Amino acid sequence: MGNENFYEILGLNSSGAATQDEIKRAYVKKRKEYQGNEEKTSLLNEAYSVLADEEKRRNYDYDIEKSIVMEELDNVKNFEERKEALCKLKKVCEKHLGHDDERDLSEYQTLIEIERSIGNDDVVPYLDKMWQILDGKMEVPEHYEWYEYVGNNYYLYDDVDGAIKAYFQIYKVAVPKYEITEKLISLLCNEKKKPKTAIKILKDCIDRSDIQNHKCFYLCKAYEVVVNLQDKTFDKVKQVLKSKISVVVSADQPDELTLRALCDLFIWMAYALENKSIAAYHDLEQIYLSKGTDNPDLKNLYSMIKQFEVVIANNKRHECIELMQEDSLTDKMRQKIEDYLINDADSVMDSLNYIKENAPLLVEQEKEAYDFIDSVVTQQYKALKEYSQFIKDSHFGGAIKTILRRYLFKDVIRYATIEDDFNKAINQFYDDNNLNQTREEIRMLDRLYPNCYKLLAEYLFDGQSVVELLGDDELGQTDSSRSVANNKAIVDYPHARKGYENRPFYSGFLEMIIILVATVIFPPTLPIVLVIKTFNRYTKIIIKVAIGIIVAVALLLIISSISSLF
Amino acid sequence: MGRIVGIDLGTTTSEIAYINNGEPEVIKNGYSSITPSVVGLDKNYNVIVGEKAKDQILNASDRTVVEVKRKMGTNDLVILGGKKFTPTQISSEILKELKRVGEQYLQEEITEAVITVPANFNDAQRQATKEAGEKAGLIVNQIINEPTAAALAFGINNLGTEGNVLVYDIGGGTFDVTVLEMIEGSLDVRASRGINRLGGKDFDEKIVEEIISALKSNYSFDLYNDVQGNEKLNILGRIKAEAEKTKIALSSIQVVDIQLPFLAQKDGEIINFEMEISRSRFDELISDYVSQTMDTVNEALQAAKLTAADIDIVLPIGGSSRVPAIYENLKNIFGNKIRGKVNPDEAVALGAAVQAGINKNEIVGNNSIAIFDVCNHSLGTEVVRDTANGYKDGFYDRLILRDTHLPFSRTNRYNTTSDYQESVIVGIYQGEDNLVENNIKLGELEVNGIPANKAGEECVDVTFKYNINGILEVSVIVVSTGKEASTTINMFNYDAPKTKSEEKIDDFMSGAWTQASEIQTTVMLYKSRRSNLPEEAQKQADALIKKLKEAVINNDYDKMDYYDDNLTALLFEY
Repeated sequence: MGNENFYEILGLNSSGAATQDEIKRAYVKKRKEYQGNEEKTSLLNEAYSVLADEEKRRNYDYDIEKSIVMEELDNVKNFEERKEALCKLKKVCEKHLGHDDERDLSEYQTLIEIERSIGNDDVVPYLDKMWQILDGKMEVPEHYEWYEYVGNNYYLYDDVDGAIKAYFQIYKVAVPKYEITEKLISLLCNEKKKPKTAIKILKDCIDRSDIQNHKCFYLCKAYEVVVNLQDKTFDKVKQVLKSKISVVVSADQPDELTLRALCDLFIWMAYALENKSIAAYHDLEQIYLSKGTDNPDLKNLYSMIKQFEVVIANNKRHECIELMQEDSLTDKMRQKIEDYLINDADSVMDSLNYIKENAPLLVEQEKEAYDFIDSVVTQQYKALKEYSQFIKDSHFGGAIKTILRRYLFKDVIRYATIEDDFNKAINQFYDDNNLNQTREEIRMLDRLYPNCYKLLAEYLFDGQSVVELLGDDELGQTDSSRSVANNKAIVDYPHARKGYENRPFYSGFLEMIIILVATVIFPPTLPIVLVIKTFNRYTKIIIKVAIGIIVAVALLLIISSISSLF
Repeated sequence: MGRIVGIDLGTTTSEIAYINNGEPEVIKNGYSSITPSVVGLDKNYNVIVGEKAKDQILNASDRTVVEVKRKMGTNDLVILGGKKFTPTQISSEILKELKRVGEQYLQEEITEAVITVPANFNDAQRQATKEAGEKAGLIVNQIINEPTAAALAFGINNLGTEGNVLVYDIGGGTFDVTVLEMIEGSLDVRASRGINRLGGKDFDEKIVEEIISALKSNYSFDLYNDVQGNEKLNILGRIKAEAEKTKIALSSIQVVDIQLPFLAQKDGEIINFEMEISRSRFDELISDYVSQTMDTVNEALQAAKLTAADIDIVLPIGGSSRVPAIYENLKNIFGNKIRGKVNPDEAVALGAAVQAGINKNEIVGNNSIAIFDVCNHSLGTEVVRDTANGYKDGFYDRLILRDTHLPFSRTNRYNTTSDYQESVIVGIYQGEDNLVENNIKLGELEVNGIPANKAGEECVDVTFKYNINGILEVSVIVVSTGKEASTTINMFNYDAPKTKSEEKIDDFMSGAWTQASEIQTTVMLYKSRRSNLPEEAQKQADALIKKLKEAVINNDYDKMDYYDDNLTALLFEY
């Protein structure tokens, strides 16, 4: 798209009100005028190719409308304005729906991201609409990304049927990526209780995949499902699968593919462990042991698996691991992390240390990955995103992924220390009224822990926005709005809890004034309040109770002193 | 500087026209305005073109070439008198002859020409035509589309008219439909569709087949087996010539009596072939072709976002538009909007002359007419997409859509797809399929020296520039360094379009998930895997499926489950 408005290129009013006939005549006129000027004619033709086509013209008009809102969004000063702009964007998107399937899909995606960033998790209706567009009508290979997007989001929002139908479409057309097959199979087995269908799908995958290690992957999964089935009819199948797996992982001259197949065997051993399919785990282990190999890397992997087995054997740890198995780091995940952090941070830490102690080799083996994760996670939310990409890209098995996830958790725990820093800054603000210095410190914190201020604001101020508090628009605005501007990017913005905006801005001051007044009337108030302050989370309630008591005592004193006058 | 002319280089006939005092006029070659597009070598191996060459087809088919236009732009070679020639060389001989005829008539040197091509000619075919013109010693001022030319010839005489025009152009070997709008003294092309190999020659072929089968049934003479070599070719040549005459005659009379005395000998007896063919039989023979052209008409209307009712004028041009069946069909669709005044043989050449006149300012001011043509095939490049099986190449990304007005230029930005990618190869394709393998590859362009970076962090700008002659320039710029590469496409380095038969996706587990019952999936699995089983297991599986069917019919759920499980297990064992 050029910089000039297409209407202006044709010499028309840019309001977009011209009729088709006017556009045609304007084109002919200009075309004659530009005779011989190839460059200008090219530009004219570009404008005409869009405006002469009702559909393209509608899209073009819409793009202009959208870009205006996007610009607005880029220049918002605070959360209120941002929300307003997002709502406007939502209206623009909605207005445009229903003309063109391809476009509708990306509009629905934008709508979903908007809903998320204004704190609304009710996006399944949008997914349903996307599915209506996709289902059968759009070919999977060409619109694969959309199928995957819809499937993953259904999965994320616990819509089992939705996720299955989307993954199933993908599966039907091609052998899908590991993760998708894995999700489809686990949904069928665990949620739908249809392990037999899962087996058939796996059988098909095995036959369809012609690469050794892919085959191994599907064979192992099938084996796990069959073992868990505990059905006599399938006893023979079990044997067949077992022998097939051992054929796949063995070769006289182990080539790269065989090694990779063995690695996949390990990955499945790890998965089996995590899924508590201990019987399947042991059988798979038998296969490995019967093969025996001199490859040092594989030996290492094996000892890691054994370590992992020890870790898994501890049931309490296992629960913790399961919790961390949540995939896709999105708002929902973040919510879970937050909740978990608030409720049971200690036991997470405990588990981490336990695993670190019991499985040092795992940590050692993947040191590079650990270092990478470590350097990345210090940047909190940004890290979450990169990390999720890392998980997607890497070929790590369940065990390694789990450890990596755990590392992420460890880092989230650092919020606790941020809270202390933040408290200090806030106290300074109240005590010295030195606004500039405080701003400086908060800004520094913001740089250190991008986006964390929003969470902290919510946590510390009961939803009051730091930006509002400081009357400052520098903090954290640009990041999130930019990602909305990019149509396809996921809005990287933790959603606020409901009622977030309604808290009065002056509550902090009011408290201070009340405390000061109370201290004058009743000197012991100050030490009491200071003690209370340390119980940060409950300050509000306690203060309110305390104030009640103080006021009552003060009134009693006044009344008694007045009455004593008589 | 000599004169400029307009040339219609047709499959079977060619014409030449010029501007005489602001009016286009066809130059006559003797008595006729038509020069057959036939090139031959005479007994002394001198090149002969036109009527003379056509006359010797029957006697010296090995020294005569017809329909060379159908081979333009391909790597096929033409054998003439034992020597090999490119189609371009042969075409240039026809152009030389036309140039000679024109110069003789005008008594002036001809140096430049506007040459017409079918609208659905691709770039390679256009380029080949241009080269033929240059070989014939002409500066090719412009290559224009035949239907456009015909519309120009019509438009120049009807300057005040406004409305939608449909040009139905069926020549000897090609068929085009173009929809355009006459507006403010201009011709605005809206859409153009065509069939590359359909024309009068195909109609002749149908009559030839009819004659051959009549020979077999009525005279017990099998042309394909009873005679060989030159004798066979000569008989076929006579039949072909007769077929063409018959076709033409059938345009004016209802029944034609085909007579071919002394056609062949069988068991010492001379065959004097004789048969009657009626117009209705002819219509029947060509009805498939005619309905194909009507489908194309509808396609073009759809592309122009118009209906038959929106069309104000229909111009049938090209020699074969005289076939009554075609006229009837057009009348059924468009009623009485067909203009009969246009001479179907001359309109294209006249239009080419008009374009030449405009380009050379021989037609000026209010008498002039502007034409805005479109590109007839989408142009694009090969891209990599994220698919179900990871990143896959071979997808087609259109930069210039068909029916876009020319000149047109467009730039798209593409990211690198692998880490530390150093070079990008931009494949240049023409066609409408979403996979490049089903489109025509016009060439490719490589740009090196991309800075080492992660996938997606480096990008290139690819620009397609399509000029007014329908010729394409492609350039690639590495955005971060500004390094540039551009190309003139090697037009002859392409193969004729290959359309791979689409592999039908296995209908395994078709239907929505909700309907995919256990049994359905088992049956599908059985169907797709049965052939992989050893014979013994096949028998077992067949038996099980039979029992499973019985269970389904009897609504016996326990048995259904039982046989379903057993069959699944069996299938799994192999």
